Amino acid sequence: MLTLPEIGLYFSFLMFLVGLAGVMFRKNILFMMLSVEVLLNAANLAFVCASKLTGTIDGQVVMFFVMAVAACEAAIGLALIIALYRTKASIEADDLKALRG
Amino acid sequence: MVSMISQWILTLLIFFPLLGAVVVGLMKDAQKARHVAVAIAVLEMIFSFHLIAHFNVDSAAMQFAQDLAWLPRGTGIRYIVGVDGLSLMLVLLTTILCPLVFLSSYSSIENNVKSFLALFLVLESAMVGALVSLDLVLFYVFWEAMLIPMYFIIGVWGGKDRIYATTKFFIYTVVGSLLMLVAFSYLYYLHYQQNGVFSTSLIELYRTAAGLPVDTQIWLFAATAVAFAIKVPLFPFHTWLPDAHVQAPTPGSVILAGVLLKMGTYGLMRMSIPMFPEAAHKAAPVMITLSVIGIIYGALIAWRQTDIKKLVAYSSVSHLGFVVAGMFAFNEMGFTGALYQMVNHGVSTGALFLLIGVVYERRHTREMSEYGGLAKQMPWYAFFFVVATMGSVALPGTGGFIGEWLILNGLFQVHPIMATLAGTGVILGAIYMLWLVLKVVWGPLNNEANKKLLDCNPREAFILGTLAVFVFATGFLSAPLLAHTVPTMKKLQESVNSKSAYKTQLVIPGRSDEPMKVMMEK
Amino acid sequence: MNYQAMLAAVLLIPLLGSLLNGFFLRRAPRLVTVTVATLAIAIPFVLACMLVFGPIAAGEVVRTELFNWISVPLGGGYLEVPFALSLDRLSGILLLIITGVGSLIHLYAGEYMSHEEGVYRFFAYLNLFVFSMLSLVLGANMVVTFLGWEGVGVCSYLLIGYWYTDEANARAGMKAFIANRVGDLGFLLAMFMSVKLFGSVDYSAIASALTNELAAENAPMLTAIGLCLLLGVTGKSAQLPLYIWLPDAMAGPTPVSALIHAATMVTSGIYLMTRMSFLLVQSPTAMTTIAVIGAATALFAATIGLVQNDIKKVLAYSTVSQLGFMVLGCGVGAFQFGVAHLMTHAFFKALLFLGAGSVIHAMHHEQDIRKMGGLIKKMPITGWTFVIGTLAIIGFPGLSGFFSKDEILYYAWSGTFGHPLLWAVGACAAACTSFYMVRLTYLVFFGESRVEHTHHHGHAHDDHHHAHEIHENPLAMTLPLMILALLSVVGGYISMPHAIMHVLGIHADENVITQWLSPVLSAAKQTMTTVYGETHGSAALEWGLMGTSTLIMLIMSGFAISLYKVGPKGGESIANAMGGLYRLILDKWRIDELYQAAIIEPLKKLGDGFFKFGDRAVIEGIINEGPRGIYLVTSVLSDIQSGLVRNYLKVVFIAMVALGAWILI
Repeated sequence: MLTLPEIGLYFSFLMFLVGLAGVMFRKNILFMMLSVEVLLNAANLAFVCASKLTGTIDGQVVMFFVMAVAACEAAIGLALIIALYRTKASIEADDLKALRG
Repeated sequence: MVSMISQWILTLLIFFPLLGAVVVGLMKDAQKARHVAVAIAVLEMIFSFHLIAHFNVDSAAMQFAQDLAWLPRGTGIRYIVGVDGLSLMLVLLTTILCPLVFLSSYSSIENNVKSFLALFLVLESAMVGALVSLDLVLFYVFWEAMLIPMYFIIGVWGGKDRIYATTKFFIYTVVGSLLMLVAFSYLYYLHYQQNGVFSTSLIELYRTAAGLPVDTQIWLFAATAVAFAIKVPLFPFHTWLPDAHVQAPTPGSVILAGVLLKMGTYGLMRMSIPMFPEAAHKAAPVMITLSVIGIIYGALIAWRQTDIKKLVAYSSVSHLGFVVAGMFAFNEMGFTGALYQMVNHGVSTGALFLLIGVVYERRHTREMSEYGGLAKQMPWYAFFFVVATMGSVALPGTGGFIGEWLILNGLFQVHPIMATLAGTGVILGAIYMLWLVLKVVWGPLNNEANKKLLDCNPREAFILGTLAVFVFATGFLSAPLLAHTVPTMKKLQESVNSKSAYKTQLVIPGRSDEPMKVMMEK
Repeated sequence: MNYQAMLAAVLLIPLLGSLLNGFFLRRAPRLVTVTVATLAIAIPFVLACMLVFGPIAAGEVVRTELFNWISVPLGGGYLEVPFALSLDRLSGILLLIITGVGSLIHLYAGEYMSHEEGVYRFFAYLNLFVFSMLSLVLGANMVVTFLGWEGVGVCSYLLIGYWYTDEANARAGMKAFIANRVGDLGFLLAMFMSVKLFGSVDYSAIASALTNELAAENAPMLTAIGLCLLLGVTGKSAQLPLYIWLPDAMAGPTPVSALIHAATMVTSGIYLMTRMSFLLVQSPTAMTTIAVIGAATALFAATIGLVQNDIKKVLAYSTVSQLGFMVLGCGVGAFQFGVAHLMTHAFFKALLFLGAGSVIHAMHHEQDIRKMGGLIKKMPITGWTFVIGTLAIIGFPGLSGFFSKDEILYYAWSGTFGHPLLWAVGACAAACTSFYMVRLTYLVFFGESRVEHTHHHGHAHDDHHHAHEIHENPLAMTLPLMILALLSVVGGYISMPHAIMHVLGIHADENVITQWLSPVLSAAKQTMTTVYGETHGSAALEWGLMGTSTLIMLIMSGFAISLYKVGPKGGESIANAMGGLYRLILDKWRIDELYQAAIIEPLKKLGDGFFKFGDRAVIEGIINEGPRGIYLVTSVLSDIQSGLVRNYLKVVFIAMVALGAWILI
């Protein structure tokens, strides 16, 4: 019988896959941003569950840092998307391929 | 006074055309610029006569030498120039050919005249520089500097496919040069390792290089030899030449065939062979085989061309095969013949390209079938054509004969079979050259467009006449001319065959009577 | 004037004449041109007579050095090649023939070329030719000889192609030059071997360096030198297999054919072999090969001569055949009779060519003997001198050809390297000679006139153009004919056979030519007697062979006359009987076609193949494929850089999975 933290770990893995798929397959940058948030939250969940399993508090501390970073990321990311939308009139990721070789 | 001039003459010869290029570039009137360019080239030629007037015939040393500081002391890179029998002949060939080329550009170059003249003067400067420099870095600088003007001359004033041709020319040559640079750098490092000081002086590196183990020598020889073989061009590195020649404007073709190709053979004789004698001995069979293949291969291809310029271009492949084969015989006859043939090929092939230029300017085609029967309409042209042909097929009485006779004779003494095979090139040479004459000069004058052609004008007749005189002068005055080269060739042969370092020294005019052993004891 | 200066003048005056005519007298009147050209040969002739009958006859050798030509270090010392001239008895004979016959032909040509425009060019070439020919025979070393050797080739090229507006003429010139070049390679190689063996190219230096010991040690090398020289000879003297250029060379003006392609240039091979006789006799292989080539050429060319209808072609093949006799003479060791035949041939063949030219000139460039006939009544001087020439060449007893040819045939049987078979081949060739020469003479000068009554160029203005206008040529053309006819009669007495000398009561050990050339040939003779032993032919053999050949000559001449009494159709019955063989001979055994198919075409294909396959496909291919390969790799790599973020992420994911898998497993 799985304990709750263990279930949480498996769940974080599934969440990570969902986020990853979202980043890889969505074309809209906004959704890609959301998927990144999912990825970060999957990581947070893993940290918390791991903290519970090992009986230390480190994981829970890191989670707060990650949440702070995620907030910053969301702010900067959204600002960039707006700037992009102003210049390109699009937030499709495929329209942005200046790095093409 | 004379010693003062002698001391500075080479520097003057190198930088005078460069100065001229600046002057020409700053001028307003294109027509005047042409006159000035010719005047500069003629002055350069007159300056170069100082060399032959004051050359010490009995010495193999580097005469008229100058050894000045150039780059910071620790690098060992200095400005060292000097001429011996080998470079003397080629410097004179360059300075004599250049005024004629400038004269020929009066009609062959019509747009961007000033830039053309300036570039050509830069080219002359680089060619003289490469021939007289005795410091590897200096040599390399001039070697690459020759490339740039030539790149533009073909690329700007060339024919229809000029960009393809000039890019090909550039890439081929640069690939070779980079190999050479690697070899030079490694040699520079090895010299430091052995002696604790850096040096790029050729005279010192001769000693270092000849003392290297055979394996190292072979690698270094291969790297430099490939660089020079591409420039010669030796079979199978020759495919850039027909394209470059066909696309180049007449003056470009003349100087390409006349002087630039000789840089390759000069490099082999100045650097590859005396620097790495043991490797040269090992490589000789390969080099001779490649040259002999080139002789026959080039000749057969030349015979089957319908484009006149291509024919002459392939004939150059064949002729320069003789030169390389001769020098790898490693005897005095071979070396002397190779050197003499370089000069003769410059004169006779230069004349042929000028002749092609004369009709090209009138008819704007290089197809053999467009011509025929020109002797009727242009008797003097026909005369010069036949003279240049006879020079090219090495008829006794022309310089080409002396060169080929010495080469084949020298080669025969060591490799009879190879010499016999190379000898068939003499027959094939007659076939393709006479075929060309038959199709262009003889036969009926059928083409309406040719019936109104004008014979050579005085300017063209002067250029071609001068070259015709040279064709025969080199054929009969060979003993006094060759006397200048004998000590050098003798020394070259001795050092190569004893597999020891090529020992030469700088003779700096006016310093003292005894030969200066510059940098030897440093 | 000392002898050295005279010798130099002999060489340089023709060159001066050539330069004057070629550059400075281009617009001068014809008379000036011709006078300058003729004097440029006649003055050397006078000087040559003074030299040859002066110091040379007294046994001296006149040697002069004009300048130092080539000088290169070789081994410890130097290989010195001065531009040196040497006049001895051998070159003396040649010198007299070249300048003497040359002057006559220049005189003749002045008239012959009178209808041409711009003859300055013709005479400049002709003088230049004489200069080259003189440097060939006067050269004291092989290189000076080679200067002349190739120089005559070039002049011949220019003169054959003199009427260059017809491409066929220019082609014939080119063919001559190239065939000669093949031979020249042989000469070059012989020179290189001499340098290797003797360290010199000077004839006298080689002769003194060649000892019997050296010869024994280097026998293969000497054979190689001999064979290489032979290659040179086959080129210049039109022997098998390089003879093909000479018949085509008839495209040139007839005086050229007479001077260059009969009297002088083509005989330079015989000169060279005689000059190098001391070396050639060291190698029996080389000598035998020379003799066989000579005999084969004599017969081969004679068979072609039997059926030709062009007056100059018959004479051309006859020349090839007669040169074969000379080479045969040299090959069996009878060098002096090779030279004697060279001289008599120069007289009678120049005579025949000039006679033919006279006919062609009078007939306005008609050369087909089927359209001639009966001309002797209209052109008596030409006709009778031509008959004398014919009698001389077929060896009619008492005329020059009889003596020189019979001596060669006698030595072909009994000489040091002789063999009865060689004689038999030679005799067959002589039989053919009698037939075709008598056929030619008869068809041209005797019988019914077959001159067409309409102008063959289709000019409508005169119906009886030829028949009425054919008349004897002026004195400038007939005088040389008469002088040459006289020489053709008496020229042979210098090589009178022993047997006849006995009968006539001339008490001399040797005939004139043998005595005259003995200083030149002493080394060869000594080698032949010491190495191969003395050979003795008997007087009976000599009489027998002489009788046989006279008999053959008479039978064949009679046969020819009886056959062609009815005109050119007389030969048809035999021709029909021979069928395919006749056509093969008429087509000159199709040797030209054979060379074309077996050598020229494959070489052309090879050249094309080298260009299209070697250069374009292989070399360009390799060099262009290298960068193309790099380009392919880089283009794949650059395609990965799609610029699409999600693709990059996919790569990241794949890499992550791979990394994880690698860590776990």
